[in-house]
Amino acid sequence: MWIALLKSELLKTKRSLSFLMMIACPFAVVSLQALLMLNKDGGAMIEKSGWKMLWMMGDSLWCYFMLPLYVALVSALLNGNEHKNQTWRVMMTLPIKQYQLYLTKALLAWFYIVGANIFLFVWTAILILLFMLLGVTNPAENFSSAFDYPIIKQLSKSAISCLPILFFQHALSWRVQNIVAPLAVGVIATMGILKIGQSEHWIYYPWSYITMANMGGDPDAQTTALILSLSVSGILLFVSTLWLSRKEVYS
Amino acid sequence: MNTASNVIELDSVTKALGGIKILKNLNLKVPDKSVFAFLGNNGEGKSTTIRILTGLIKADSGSVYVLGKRLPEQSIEIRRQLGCIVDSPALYPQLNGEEFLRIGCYLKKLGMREIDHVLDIVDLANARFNKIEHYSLGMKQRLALAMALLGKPRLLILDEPTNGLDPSGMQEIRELICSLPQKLGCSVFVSSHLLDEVEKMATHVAVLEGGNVLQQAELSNIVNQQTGQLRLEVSNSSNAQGILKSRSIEAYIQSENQIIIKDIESQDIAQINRYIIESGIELLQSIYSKPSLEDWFLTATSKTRS
Repeated sequence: MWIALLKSELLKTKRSLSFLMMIACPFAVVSLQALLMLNKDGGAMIEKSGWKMLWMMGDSLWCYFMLPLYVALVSALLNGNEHKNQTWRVMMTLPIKQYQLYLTKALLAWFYIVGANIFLFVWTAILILLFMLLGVTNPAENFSSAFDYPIIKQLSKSAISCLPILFFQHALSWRVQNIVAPLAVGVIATMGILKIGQSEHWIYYPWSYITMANMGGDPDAQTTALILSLSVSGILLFVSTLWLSRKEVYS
Repeated sequence: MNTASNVIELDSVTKALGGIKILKNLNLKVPDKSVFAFLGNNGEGKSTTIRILTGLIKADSGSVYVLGKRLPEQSIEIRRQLGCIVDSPALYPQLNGEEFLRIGCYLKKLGMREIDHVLDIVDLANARFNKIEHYSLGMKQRLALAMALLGKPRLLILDEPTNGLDPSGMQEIRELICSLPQKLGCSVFVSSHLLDEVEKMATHVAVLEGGNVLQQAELSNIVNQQTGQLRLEVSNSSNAQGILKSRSIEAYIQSENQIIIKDIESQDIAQINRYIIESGIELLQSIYSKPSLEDWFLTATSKTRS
C-alpha cells in the first residue's frame, strides 16, 4: 500500500509547481552565487582560496535562506494541491487510511528536499565548469580542487537537519487550507535564523538546526544539532500523525 | 442490525455540525440492486448523510452499516467495494484523464486495463490523454463517475451527479446511472433535488427533512397509489358541474368551458366522460394527469411544515 500511495502522490505532482521548484530553488541560489562572484572578481578569489569557497558560499546561502523557504514551499504545494482542488474527499473515499496519506506526503516532501539538494550539487558543478570554460579562472590550475569540498556530507546533513521544520510545515499546511499561512510562517521563521541561530538559544529554534549542523562552530555543536533534529522531528511526526490523521473531511 | 438485502442501513443516526443538529435520529434502509434517490431541500442533511456513508465524517451516535459492514470500524473494507462522487467532481486539473484514474487503480490495487473498461462505460476513451483542465463540466462529471466505477463497486454513492450540467449532459448522466445496476450489478444511492431527473431514474425514494426521513417508498408504489386530476373541456361548465354533482362527484369550474375533478383514479375517467356525454353536453377534451414526484415531494414536505 505504501508503494502504491507513493506512486499516486508522485503522479499528482506531475506538471505541478512542486517539481519545478525542486529545480528552480537551487538554481536561484547558484545564479545568485554566480552574480556575486562575477561582481567581486571571482576569478581572483577562486585562485586565492580554491573552489572550496564557491561550495561554501552556495552551502551557506542554501542553509540560511533557501532551504528553510523551500521546505515551507514544497509542503505547502503538496498539501495545497488537495486543498485547492478539494480532492481530500476523493482520496479519503479510496481504501487508504488518513495517517498513511499524511506520512506519504511527508515522505514525498522529503524526497523533493533531497532532490533539491542534488540539484544544488549539479548546478554548482555546472557553474564551476562554466567558470572554467568562460575563463573566469584558470582551469588547469584549479580543476583538481574543484570537488575537494565535502559537499555530499554537508547536503546529507542538511537533508536530516531540515526534518523538524519539514514536519512542522507539513502539519501546518495539511491543517490550514490557505497556502499563504504556512508560507508566511516559513518566511518569518527563516528570518529568525540570522538572529536566534547565532545565539546560545539556537537549540530551542528548529530552523537554526540546519545551519548549526552544517556550519556550527565546533563538531560537538554539529552533532548536537543532528541529534536534536532527529529527536524533535520524531516527536513532531508522532504527535502530528496522531492529531491530524483523525480530521473529518468537509471540503 | 443490518440485513443482507440492504446495502445501506442507518439506525438512529445523529450528527451535529458547529453546534447545530443536522441529522436527528435518522433511519434509512437502502435495498440491494436499487437506484435509490435521496431527496431533500438544500440544508436538510443530504450531503452530511453522504459524508457519513462514505466515511468522510463520523456520526455522533447511532449505527451505520454499508454493504453489511459497520462504519467507521470497517471503513477500508467498505471503500474497496464503494464508488462515490461527493459534491461537485474533485479532480487534479494538471493531470490527464488516464493519469487521474491511475491514482484510483494504484490505491484499489487494480490492473491498468480497468481504466479502458471504465472509460468505455462513461464514453471518455477519446479524451483520456487530454488534460482535465480542458474538460467540460459534463466530461469532468463523467470522469469522476469513471473513478467511482473503478473496481466494479457493489455500491455507488452519488451526490447531486447532474448538478450544473446542461440538459443533454443531464440526460447522458441519467442514462448512465440507470444502466449501472444492469451493467455492473451494483446499487446506486443518489442524492438530488432535481425531482424530474429522479423520477426518470430511481426505483426507490426517500425524503429527508429536518434531519429525519419523512417518507421512504418504491417509486412505482408512489406513482400507482396516487390519484390524479381530470380536466374536462365542455360546452357549458356550469351544466357539467351540476350533472357531476348529481352523481356525487365534485367538480371545480376553471372557466366557462373548463372544469377540474380532483383526486380520481384512472378507472373512473370513462364513467365520468359518459355522464357528461349522456347528458347532452358537448365534451371537447378530457385530460387526465397524475401528480409528479415533485407534487408528491411538496405534499410530503408541506405536511410536516404545517
